[in-house]
Amino acid sequence: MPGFYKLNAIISDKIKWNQREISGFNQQIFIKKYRAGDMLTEENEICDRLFFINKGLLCNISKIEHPSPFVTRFAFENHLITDLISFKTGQPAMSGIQALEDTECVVIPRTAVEWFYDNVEEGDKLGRIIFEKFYYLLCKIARFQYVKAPAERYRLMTELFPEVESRVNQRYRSFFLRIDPAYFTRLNLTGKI
Amino acid sequence: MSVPPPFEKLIGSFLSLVKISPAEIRDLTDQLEVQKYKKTQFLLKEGEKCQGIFFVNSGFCRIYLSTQGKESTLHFAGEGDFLTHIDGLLFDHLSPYYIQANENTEVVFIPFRTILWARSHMQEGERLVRVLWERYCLFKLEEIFSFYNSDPIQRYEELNKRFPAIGQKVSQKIIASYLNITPEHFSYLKSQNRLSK
Repeated sequence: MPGFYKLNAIISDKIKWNQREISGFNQQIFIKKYRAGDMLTEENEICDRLFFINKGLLCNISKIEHPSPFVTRFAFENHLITDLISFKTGQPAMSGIQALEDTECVVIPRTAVEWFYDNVEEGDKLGRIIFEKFYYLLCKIARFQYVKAPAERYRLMTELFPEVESRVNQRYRSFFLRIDPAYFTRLNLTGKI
Repeated sequence: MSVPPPFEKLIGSFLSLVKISPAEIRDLTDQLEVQKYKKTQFLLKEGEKCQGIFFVNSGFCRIYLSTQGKESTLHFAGEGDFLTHIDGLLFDHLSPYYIQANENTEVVFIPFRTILWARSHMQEGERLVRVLWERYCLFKLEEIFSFYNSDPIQRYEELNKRFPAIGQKVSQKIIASYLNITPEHFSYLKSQNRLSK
């Protein structure tokens, strides 16, 4: 199926899997398109899906019970995104997933992930590789909390997400940096780092 | 099969995640090492390369960053917790932080070569490592959300729930560095009875 081509190719690059395993997995996933601004999943609801981005841009965003929203992560083409705590534990999600551009995703339900681990011989190997990379990203994100200077935070953000300046509007960049949008405008950091 | 006593908790923890045969347990425990640290000794220092994973058998540790003399405590670990610097294991990065024993502490050290061995020699080794990394990711995410979501009082409540009597294990200065507030602010909150005992 053409919509699964990129996802299948990326998986094939990491592990060996046979045609039976590929077909079995592809039968459980589906393509969905979202418009910029759409919420794919909501905060405080259980997130039981994983999204692979064919085209577009998504973010994890928390809006409830905060003075202003905050973004914990941006995800671009060929990235996976979910609210992992909710996905793994079944607890209500601490973040929603929002489209920041018109986006096409492969939606992977939790049942398909469980099937993958149980039925694809190298399924755990792929999971291990994904979590190694994800942990590395999380460590970088976690370091932000100890960096106070806005310019340094901005530099780290562009290092972590190189396309953020060209594709994410200023408001959402300020949500990631946890800088008041009005103050962010006055700092005028864009393109200066 | 009988597991050597210092490794019982670790193997018990692994067995709750995957199936491991008696032969695998024997081969695995042959590669493990018990290490003892006195209070204030370091399991890992900034600038060192982490060589494996520490499993806390007893005692209490903390991970902290030191930036221009200012300490920021990232998290604490007690009995049954794992500690490591994954970037060091996977990407050869030097540790940006310190892992310090805050009480006399006994750990089981799992060398990284044993992790690699487990992946290729144990029936469910790849699954074991996947689940371990997955847990690390959840732990890290909780840390990030806790930092963004909670004020210092909430964070203290969460910390106290996870590690009862933490005030007796570490100094107020260390707790303040975890809450990302000054020791003076922490003392003020205590004096106002805004923090649970």
